Amino acid sequence: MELGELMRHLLENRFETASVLLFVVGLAGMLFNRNLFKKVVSMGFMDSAIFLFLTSAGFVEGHIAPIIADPSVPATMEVYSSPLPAGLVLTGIVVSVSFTAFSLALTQRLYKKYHSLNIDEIMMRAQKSED
Amino acid sequence: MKKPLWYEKLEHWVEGDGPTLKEPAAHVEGKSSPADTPSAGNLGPSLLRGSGGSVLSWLTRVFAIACCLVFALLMIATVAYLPRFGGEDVPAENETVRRYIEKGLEEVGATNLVTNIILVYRGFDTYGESCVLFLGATAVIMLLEADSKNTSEEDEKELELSDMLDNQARNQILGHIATILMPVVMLYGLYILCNGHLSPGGGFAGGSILGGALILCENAFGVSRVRSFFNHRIYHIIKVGALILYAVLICYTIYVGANGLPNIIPLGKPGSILSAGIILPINIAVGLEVACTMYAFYTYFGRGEL
Repeated sequence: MELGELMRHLLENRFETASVLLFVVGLAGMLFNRNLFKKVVSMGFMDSAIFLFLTSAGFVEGHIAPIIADPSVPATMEVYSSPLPAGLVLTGIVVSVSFTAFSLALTQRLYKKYHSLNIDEIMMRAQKSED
Repeated sequence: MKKPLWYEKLEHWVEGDGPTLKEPAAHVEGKSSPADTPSAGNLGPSLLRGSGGSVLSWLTRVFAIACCLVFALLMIATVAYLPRFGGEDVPAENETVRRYIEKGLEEVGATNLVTNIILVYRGFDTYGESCVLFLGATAVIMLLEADSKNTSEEDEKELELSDMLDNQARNQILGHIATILMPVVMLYGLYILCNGHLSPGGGFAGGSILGGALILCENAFGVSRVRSFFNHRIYHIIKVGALILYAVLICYTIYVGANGLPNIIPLGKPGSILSAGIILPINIAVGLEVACTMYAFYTYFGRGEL
């Protein structure tokens, strides 16, 4: 694929491209931040990127949201967009909320014990208290 | 260049207290501990800026950047080969979705097709999701429950002092606005909850709004006001009861559907509020569960008790 064509494809799939970039931002945040709270926030970035990817996969130009306005007219695929990605994203959001709360609770316990959010310092203090 | 004072204060606040590292070292997760072991005694930034540490940190930093770049390039190359955004040939439009759209109203009875999928077609999956939420709340309670082991006297004094200050100088503006807003927010949450099968919304969205109303109530009127109608016992009854109701309904539906038995729950007239069989009770159960969990998250993080 040529560069021009590649750029055209990326521009057409702009939501997917944006979600990939957002995911990489989250990944970099996970790798480079030593602060546990920032790591949790980066995890949230990665979650949002995946939700954006899934929702954009279900969009079809010109189709309306999958809520039947008139029950007497039979529903067809040519009118409504796919309801499946929305359902999957809902599942993902709930799991990510639970996960965020759980990791923040762990972080708070670590902070109360070691008085720091920096992962290196927590390690050092934990080792020191073991000795 | 020296950083201005406000920036240092902000940095200090963001990083948490304790001696902050001026140059955060960039070890990748697994490699940091062996490097730190030999001189664990000398605490602080000097260790990480030592000669051995800096080479390692430089290497791991380069490695991490390379990982991110390779991942980004691979993913972008994949995105370039995906079907066109918004086109007719997107992979999400297949025979499964055709069945959901064309038969959903007839088989399940809710005009909101997303609700059909998440609560009936994929109801077992959503039940697992509610269990994840339940487990999340349980784990948070286990970790943050304030008991004699993890609270010092200072913590208790601090909490008492902040409660006393709150009660003395309760924010007048917040109180008045909350008096006006609370009924509206509650009503809106209930509306979203009960109309989940007719319009966008449902248990998870409505429950979050109800949880938000409880949090607003605690902030505006104090925790004693919330405890007068929502205490520890009621919280556990609602949380477990809602999950059991959901389990019973979903088991019934699966049993009836798998054995080809007639379903005794009427589907009702599509578009009216009492329709769609088990969806309305499930939505209410999920909504109560989510509202309780949201409020529990908030209050356990702040106070360590309900």
